[in-house]
Amino acid sequence: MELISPLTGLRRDGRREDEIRDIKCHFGVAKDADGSVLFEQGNTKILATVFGPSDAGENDDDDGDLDLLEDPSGLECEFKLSAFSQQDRRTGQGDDPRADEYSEYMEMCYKVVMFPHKNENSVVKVTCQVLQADGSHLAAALTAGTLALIDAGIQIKDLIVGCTTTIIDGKALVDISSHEELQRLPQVTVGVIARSGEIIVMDMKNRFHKDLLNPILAASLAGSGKIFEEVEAIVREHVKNSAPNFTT
Amino acid sequence: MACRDPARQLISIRRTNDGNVQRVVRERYLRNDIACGSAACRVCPPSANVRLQAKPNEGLCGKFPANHYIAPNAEVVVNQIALLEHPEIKNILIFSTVADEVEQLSLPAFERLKTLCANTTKNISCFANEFHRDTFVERNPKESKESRNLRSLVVASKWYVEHLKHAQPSPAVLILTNTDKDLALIDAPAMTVFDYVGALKTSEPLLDVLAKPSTLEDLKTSTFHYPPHLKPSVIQAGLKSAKYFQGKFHASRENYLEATVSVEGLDKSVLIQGHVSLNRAVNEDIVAIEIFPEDKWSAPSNLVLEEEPDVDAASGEASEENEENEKSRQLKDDMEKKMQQKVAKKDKQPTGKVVGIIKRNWRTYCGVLRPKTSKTSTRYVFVPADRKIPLVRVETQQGDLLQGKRIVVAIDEWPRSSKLPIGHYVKRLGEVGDKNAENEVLLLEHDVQHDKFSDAVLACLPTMPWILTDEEVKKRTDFRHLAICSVDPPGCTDIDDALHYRVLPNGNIEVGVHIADVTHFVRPGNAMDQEAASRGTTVYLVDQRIDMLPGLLSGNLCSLRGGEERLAMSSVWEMTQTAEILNVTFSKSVIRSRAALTYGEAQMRIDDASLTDEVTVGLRGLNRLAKILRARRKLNGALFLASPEVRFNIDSETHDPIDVQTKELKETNFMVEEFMLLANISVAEKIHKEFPEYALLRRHPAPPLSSYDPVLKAAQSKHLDLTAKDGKSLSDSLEKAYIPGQPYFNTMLRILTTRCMMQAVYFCSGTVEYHDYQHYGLATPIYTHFTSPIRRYADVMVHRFLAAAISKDVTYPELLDRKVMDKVCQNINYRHRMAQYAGRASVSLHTQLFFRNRKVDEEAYVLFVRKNALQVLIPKYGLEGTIMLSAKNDKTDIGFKFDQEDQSQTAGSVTFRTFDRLVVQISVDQSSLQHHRLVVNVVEPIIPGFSVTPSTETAPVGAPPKMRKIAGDA
Repeated sequence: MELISPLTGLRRDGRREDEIRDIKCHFGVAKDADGSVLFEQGNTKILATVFGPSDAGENDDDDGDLDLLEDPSGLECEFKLSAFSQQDRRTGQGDDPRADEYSEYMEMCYKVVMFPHKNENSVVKVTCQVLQADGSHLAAALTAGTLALIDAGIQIKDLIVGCTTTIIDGKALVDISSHEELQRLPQVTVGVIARSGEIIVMDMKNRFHKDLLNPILAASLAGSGKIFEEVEAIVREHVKNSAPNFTT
Repeated sequence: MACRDPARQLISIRRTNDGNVQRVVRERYLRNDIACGSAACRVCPPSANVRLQAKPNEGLCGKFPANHYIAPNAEVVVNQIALLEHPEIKNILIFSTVADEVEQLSLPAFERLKTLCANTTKNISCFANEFHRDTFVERNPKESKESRNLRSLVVASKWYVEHLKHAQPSPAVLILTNTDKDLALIDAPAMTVFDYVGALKTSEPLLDVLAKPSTLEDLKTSTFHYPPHLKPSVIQAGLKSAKYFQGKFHASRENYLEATVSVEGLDKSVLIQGHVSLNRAVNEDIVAIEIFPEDKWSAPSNLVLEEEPDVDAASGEASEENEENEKSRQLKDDMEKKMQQKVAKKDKQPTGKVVGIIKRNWRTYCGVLRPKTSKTSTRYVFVPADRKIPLVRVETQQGDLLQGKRIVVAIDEWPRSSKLPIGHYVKRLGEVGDKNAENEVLLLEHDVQHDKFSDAVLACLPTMPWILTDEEVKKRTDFRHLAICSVDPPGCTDIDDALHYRVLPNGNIEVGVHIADVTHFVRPGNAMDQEAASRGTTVYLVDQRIDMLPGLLSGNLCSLRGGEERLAMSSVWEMTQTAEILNVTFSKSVIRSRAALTYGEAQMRIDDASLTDEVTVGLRGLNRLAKILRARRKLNGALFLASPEVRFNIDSETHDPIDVQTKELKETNFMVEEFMLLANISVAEKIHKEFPEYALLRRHPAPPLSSYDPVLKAAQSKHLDLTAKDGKSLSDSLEKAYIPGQPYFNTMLRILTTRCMMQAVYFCSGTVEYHDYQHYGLATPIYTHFTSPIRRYADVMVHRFLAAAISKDVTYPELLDRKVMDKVCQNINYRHRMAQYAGRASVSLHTQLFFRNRKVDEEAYVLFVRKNALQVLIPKYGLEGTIMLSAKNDKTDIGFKFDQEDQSQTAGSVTFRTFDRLVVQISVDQSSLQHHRLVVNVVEPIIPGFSVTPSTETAPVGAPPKMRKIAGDA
């Protein structure tokens, strides 16, 4: 089965090459958390929660751990792929081997947009739990985390959005679904500040030729732009609803 | 995003390979921005991709006079793709649901549909009804896939008519079905394809082009000739439990009742014997087989059997020809009985029977119709040109027209009640015996692409006159001052290699091999590159050359002609006087060949002591080094095997062959070959070092020892011991195997040895372990093809790797993709093999033309002794022939006795063994119009009642017979 139908030029789910999936968002779904969002990008569904900022507390384990000092933003991120999120229920093996790596990426992204001096001696915990996996997990998690931060009322300079792109026969496909991830095609995920086109993290999967990097990156940035447009509208709508008198 | 609806969820249940049931959820975005692709439409936004005419098929069809587009269903596309491809069938509307169904039903049909849609001159359009808001049809609960597809076809066609109702005149959509069983369910204009085509006003009747609907088999009334095939689910279960095995079916060329199936994981291929066991499998099908218990194992029967022409199974009606059927069945049984034999235990091979077909690999076949038996019948028996394909029953109205013509036929089905597969006529090629038609046949049969190069390809050529710019020279090493020359066969226009030799100041020798820089002109990915990649190789026929690259490149810009400045890839070695290589450098260069010599001219220069010019001195030096290299190679165990090669002298007017001679080889042939091998090996090492994962190399696996048994046995019968432990011992013992007074004995031994070997193949280095890289025939651990980029695509790829390795060119994504490289390798291996077969077929075609109207007596030697035949080699023509020892009617059977152990045939006082000399008479049997074939009869020794009287004609003049000794792979 080809990813792009040779006869109609459409992808298997009816999208064109440069189209992203539908984006939906519900804020405040986890009442215990300071900020939470159920973020849906097609069938990839992510529950992002934010706890904090809370007191970082005494560094009571006297093992000389200076993590907090080195990391003045006080940001802790976690990426989790639920066992039930995929078709074959994952058991035993534990987390996605790349989960730690993805957590790291999230941290790198949010650190750039947050104001570290405002959160001194405090810690913000961001958790992205993938409830349903249908491709582009990291990208969706990056976007979802930003929205949860906003819901928690934590100041950020700009929105981080993520986009995963692949390329086949010279045609770049943005926001790929799990079906499109199956073949071992070149894959690039970027976490960007879309307004400025600034790439904060970039993750590559499967080995590919350097000549393909530029077209993939260009498509990724274009895709991020589209995701940003939608997400920005959602945020404005959310702010309008929750704080009607607050005008932007 | 106004152009699409929010996503819908499509839920389907599927069974995974390991038997689990899985629920699959997919999103589906329905759109409203899909253009209808009709020129009559005024609603859709204008687009470049409007392929359907505004006034389609006006008055074309007698039964449906209104303007209409035709919308075939999937069955029609799968079965009648040849009709859709016909230029007079226009305005075809393919719905994407139909396309998806076709993809699932038959990949070959889908590929052809894709090609058809890619052809912009054809009025065909694909409408994505599956993704359109108004035409998407969701499958109802408990609805079958088929009826849902049918429903969506109807919905789409109605939408289409509605969509175009404002057009003047508004066209209709006519659904075409393959059978009438669906017609009742369709509440829209619909017709079976047979009714439609029958009423078409086209220039030739297209009804013959249609594949007939499959015959319904009535279990009670029909007589069955074959056991039923198992259901796919049963086969799958059987494969898993190792009850059945899956493999490719290879029909035997010599015996139509015998075939082998190569099963992955089994050492020996499985032998299938008898028409019940063969059970309707056709050559190249993927079949499921059941292997018999060991006590039923057997060996190939050694019989040469051709499908009996008198077994006329053209008619399927059992009643009227019951008697004849009975007779023919007896005949078949007789033959099968004949095939039964006592077999020595060690020769035994697993046997089995076909229980089901996993995948049919039917293509179209070339051949002729046999004259029909009864006047009124429209049924004919089609005789394919390829002996591995069974006879086919064909029904046609144009039978009289097609008599004595080469035609193309496709097989439609092979029901149990029919002895022969049932097919239909596709197209006509020309008269039997006409050289163009026969050439066309062999090109088609070997899948050789031979159309003219398209405009897109020609557009990639550099503009003429082509000038070598200073800029280009600066980027390259300048070798124009060197005494470079090329040595090729006479009349060669695609010179791709040239050599030079000079003594360096330090006493060492510099040797250079310069290969045309084809990749400078053929850039990766452009139309010319794609065309060359798909052609894979230049195909040499006796009277024709089918180029891989357009003539401007192959015959001019890339041809290293004498005295002209050309771009080259050079490989330059520094060697000691004793041909020890000190170092090698590769470069892109500019050269000017001093002379383009033929082998003969080069030889004359070397031999003529009075010549002392730079080129001649160089040639002598090269010749001396080549001898050293060759001796060293021999020492390492390289094989020098023989295969007869024939060339024809062709009449310049009629292009009919007037004389035939085997190719003669000179010392200079070996000289060039030696340096080409050296270059190939050096380049292989270089590109493997730089690109261990992706480099394109060539390997020749060592054959299993057992495969040499027949040769060893044959040699033993002449009291000679051959050893085949490894290449070296084999070549040593071959070297010693001479029998005084039998000059061809050694050559024949080498020919037989060649037959035992495996094929050399191209491969991508990342896909094979290093120790498997070896080239057995050349006795080198690594090898590739670098020296003929004009005529082989493998060399083009190797040039690209080399250029990237020396940083003279850049890599590109496809070059460094193992999957892509693997595909390239598979294709060039296939094309290479086909080109070889086509070349051989061309030689045998010309041999036949040559012996037409002649009767010639020649010396021949026995190559193989079969149970009912002798295979002989006629060295003078490099020709192999089969002498049937027991004819089909018992009258001429004079009682040859076959000795299995001794591999001999005895009649009276005469015994035939391998290597025996005899005199044979060669003629062409023209008794039946369709089946001209070469006949070989024994003249000497004289066997009363069997041998024929000597011919009075004198043999045509030809060069003395010479065998070509080849390393097999230069």
